[in-house]
Amino acid sequence: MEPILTIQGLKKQYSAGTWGLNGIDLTVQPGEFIAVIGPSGAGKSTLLRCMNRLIEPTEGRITFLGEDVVCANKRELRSIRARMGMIFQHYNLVYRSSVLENVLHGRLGYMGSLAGMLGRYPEADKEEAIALLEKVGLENEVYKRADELSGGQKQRVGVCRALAQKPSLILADEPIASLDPKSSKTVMDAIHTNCREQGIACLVNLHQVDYAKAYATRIVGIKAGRVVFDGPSDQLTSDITQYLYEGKEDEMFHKAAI
Amino acid sequence: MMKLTKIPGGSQARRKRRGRQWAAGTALLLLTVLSLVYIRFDAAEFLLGIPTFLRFLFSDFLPPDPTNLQSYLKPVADTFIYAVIATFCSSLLGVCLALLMARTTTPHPLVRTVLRGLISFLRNIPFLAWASLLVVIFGVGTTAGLIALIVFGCGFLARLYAESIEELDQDSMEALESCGATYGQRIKHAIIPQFLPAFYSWTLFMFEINIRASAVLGLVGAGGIGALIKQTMDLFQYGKTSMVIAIMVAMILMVELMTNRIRRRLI
Repeated sequence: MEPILTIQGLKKQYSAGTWGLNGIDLTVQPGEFIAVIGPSGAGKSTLLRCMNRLIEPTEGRITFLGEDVVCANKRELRSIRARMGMIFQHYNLVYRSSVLENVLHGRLGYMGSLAGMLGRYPEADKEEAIALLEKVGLENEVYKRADELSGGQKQRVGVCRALAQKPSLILADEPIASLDPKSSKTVMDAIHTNCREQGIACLVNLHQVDYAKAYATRIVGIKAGRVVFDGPSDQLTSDITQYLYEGKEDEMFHKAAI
Repeated sequence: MMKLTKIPGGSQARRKRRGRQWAAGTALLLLTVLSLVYIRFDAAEFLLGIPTFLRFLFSDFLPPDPTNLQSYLKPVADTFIYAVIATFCSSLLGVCLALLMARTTTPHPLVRTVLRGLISFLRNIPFLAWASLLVVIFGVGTTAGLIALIVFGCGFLARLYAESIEELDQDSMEALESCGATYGQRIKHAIIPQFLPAFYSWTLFMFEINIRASAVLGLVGAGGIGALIKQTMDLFQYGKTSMVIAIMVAMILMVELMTNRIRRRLI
């Protein structure tokens, strides 16, 4: 099968000569659910943000659905981003807008600039957005303002926004790092179920190894900007996790306990 | 909790600080005295002037003379309308300039630098100076006053708006960027909703300033209620002057009451 995303020799140099990413190679097949694990500062966030160029990579090639991401011009990049959903640690919603509007923001990438600015979303998009919200259990919050929701609910809105894009790939950057264990499970379930049902490939940055093992079909371990493990989740032995988190062992589980 | 740990050398530092405070206080006092001497301020003249002033106040100025009340209606309405138009225009222009000027939304850093320079130039010319200049260009009348208010308000608001925009949370901008939203869409859907409370607040504030400003515009020949003050004083009809001033104060108070109520409702 044709991979939907290939990354070759991806490097990111921050100013002052520090390398955030130090030559990453990664291939994502359609429908895969991949957890990216590693200690904080390993470059997980940078990796995800390079894929849709929220951060400009310094070197390397990224190919998404046969299109070159790094060399894409403004219009091409917009179309690439529209087909890549993203979920953020801090939800990144527009809190003074309604839940429904926040989900509909996922459609902006497909709309004309002016129609999007005026918020002329097609009726079908609105119905689908509401259906998505119903599916994650937010049917009673559709018209509420986003700042009225709890953390777990906000993140489910974030998930719906990404799903509204009808993406081929979802990038989730620490989606549960700010949530309690119960909300974490609801959010991870929402991401996992929807991705599996709709055949969306997913890359999830996770702090917690136990969550990674529970949900992912494949795990990628990153340390100091390099891939040090890439394989099915049952092959991730405790030796490898220990090596991965060497010196930062306390990070493996502490977030889940908050 | 307050820290009560004694820091070594603390008393010395305190003595030093106190010394500096004394020095600053003395310098300020000296400066004031020297300035008074320089402008030849005469305390005796001031004190002897008080009875004259009181006589003027109570015999010529008060009570307000309401004879021509009806003819004041139009200038009062004019003043109010100037403020409305000026606030509306300068807030629209101000938002556009602010979006181009704010660090987080500027299309290019160069645009930001150029506009900031231009705006601070506009803003730092006092609006009465603007009004006087524009009276020379457009002649005595409403146009000059209105344009002066708009130019000044525009610079004032653009700067305040831009600062408010820079303080906004950037997370939602990032999220919309990741969805493939265009610049215009990001501004409309991520920036504008967050910016609205600050926008209302500053715009209402501008309206209050504009009401006061448009009331004095007449003094330089730019129309409105200020023209009445100048006219009546030139004719030594001080009773009428006090009537006009009373109307002006009432109008300003009413506007403040109104804006406060709107502010509470909106924010």
